Amino acid sequence: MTAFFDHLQYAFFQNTLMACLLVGLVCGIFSTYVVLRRLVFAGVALTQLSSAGLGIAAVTGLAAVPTSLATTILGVGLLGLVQPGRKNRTDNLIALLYIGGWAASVLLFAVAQRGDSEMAAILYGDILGVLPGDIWAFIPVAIVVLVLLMALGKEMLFVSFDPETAATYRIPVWLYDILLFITLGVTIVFATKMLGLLLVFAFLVAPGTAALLVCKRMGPALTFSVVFTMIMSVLGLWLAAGLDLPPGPAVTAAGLVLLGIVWIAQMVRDNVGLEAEESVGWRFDGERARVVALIVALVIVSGVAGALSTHVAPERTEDLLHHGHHHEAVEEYPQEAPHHDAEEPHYHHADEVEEDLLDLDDLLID
Amino acid sequence: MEQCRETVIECEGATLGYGRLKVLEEVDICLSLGDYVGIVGPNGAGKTTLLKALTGILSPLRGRIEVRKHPREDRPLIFGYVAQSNTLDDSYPVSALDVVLMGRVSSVGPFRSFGPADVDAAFRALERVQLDHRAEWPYPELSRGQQQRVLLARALAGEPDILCLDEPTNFLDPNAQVDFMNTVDDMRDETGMTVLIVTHLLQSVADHAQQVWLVQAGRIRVLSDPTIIQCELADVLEGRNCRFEEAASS
Repeated sequence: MTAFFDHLQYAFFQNTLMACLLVGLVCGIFSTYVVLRRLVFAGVALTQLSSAGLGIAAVTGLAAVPTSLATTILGVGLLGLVQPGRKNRTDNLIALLYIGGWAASVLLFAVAQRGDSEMAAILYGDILGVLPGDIWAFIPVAIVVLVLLMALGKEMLFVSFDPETAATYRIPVWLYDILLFITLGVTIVFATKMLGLLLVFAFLVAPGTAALLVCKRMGPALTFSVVFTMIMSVLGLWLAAGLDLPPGPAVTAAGLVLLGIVWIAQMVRDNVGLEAEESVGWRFDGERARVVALIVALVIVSGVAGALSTHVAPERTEDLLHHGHHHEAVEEYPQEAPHHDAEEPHYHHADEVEEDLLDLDDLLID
Repeated sequence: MEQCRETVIECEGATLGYGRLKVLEEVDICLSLGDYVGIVGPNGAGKTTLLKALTGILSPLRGRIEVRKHPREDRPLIFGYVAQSNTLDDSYPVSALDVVLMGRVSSVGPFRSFGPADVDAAFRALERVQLDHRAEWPYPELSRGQQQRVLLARALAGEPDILCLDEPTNFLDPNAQVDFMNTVDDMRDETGMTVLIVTHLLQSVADHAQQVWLVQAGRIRVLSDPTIIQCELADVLEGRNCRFEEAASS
């Protein structure tokens, strides 16, 4: 069997995969809206404010998640103060929130004398150290966010597409904007805690970008975006297991590679004139078939890449398995950070940052 | 102020603008059901500001704007709004039908999906603008003129009492402009809705509008006598050809 399937026998890897799929499901939906509304950097600004909240918690001893949530919601409130349509002001405010959040994070963690280690943990995440409690905490968040986004989808689309006209129909545009930002902010707080800023940001950008290259209806775009995050997660973890790579960046890189494939496929299709041909008799069924075909192609490419990765580095499997046992012990007793032996086979990424991540886990669990 | 029968919107001493910027002052106008009003004036005079204030998007800085209930049916007025199609983002994955269905969003309400009645209304509206055969087409792939007709269909799909049109025929060729205005006229004749149109098509306004609101130098002049409308607009037309100046500047 491949390294990926070998690792699936272990709870820590199951948790990692489950966290990626769950976060991917929610971020896949958000991603389409985030890309369409040019809110990509609002997403990263909110993630930065979330980490500033963790910094405040580190300094003051307050509970980490509520504090992080509070700073994120504060950022949401500030974004909501900007009048719709004043795009320049929104851009400026997002930039200010981003650099403010970044500076506050660095300064607060420095004051708390946890500087570099916590920052690294927030940036790259503790993806192999996801606890079942983290997943259970995220499930209700995911359900509420998904229900709201699906139930209010037609309003969300209208206020995003044409806010001025929506206002004349007495639709409270500001309320839907705030709702979008709040649900995005809450998702980011919980997701960043599990997977780190880099991967959450990747989940918010790559799937929506790919979906909008391919799809011409909102429904298929949302579906494609979600499926893209699933494939991206599985492929990334597959490559990480097979090639002994840090899983967070591996999933991110997998997303970018898949996005590149989608982009090239779209360019080829445009250049051979399929677009013009379809435009004459374009129907939803054709759209659906195209999306399904591309998803199948991505699955095949992912499968081949994953199989090749296992073939290239089968000897790494034992290393990762060894680390897997090791990490499960960590999961069970997170306060007891294990000592690494220099001779001990180890997992590359975790070996570099694991102790730092465990510190962050302690902080978050507190 | 002009005397109105069945007044639905009334402005009294209103000052309109943004923050400290006053665009229009001492606005005293009223609007009745069934009126056809053309709003004309030079660029930057405040035509769109006035339209936004009347539709409730913009609150007056001073004075009062009252939007009343429907005088015969005791319900809030329904607005339809058509802006210039070039203000919308072409990257959205929506079909013509999706865009028209947006006109039904407020009547359906949150947490509910569009029903067959909404889809029927959307198709009827697309038929009105002769684009029902393009219902499934991606909106960004339609021509600018077709996009503008889709936006008109969206406004009509909501079965509005007041149809607000903000320079809807900009970027349309002359034939498309005439078609567009004829569709609006036909709909008004059928439904008796109020039409408020901001436009540079002075001759079209002179031909169709019962009232003209001339927006100039921060004030509004209400012209309601057909002879005066013809004369005033003829003066404007002879003095400088606004329509073609606008087209050239855009």
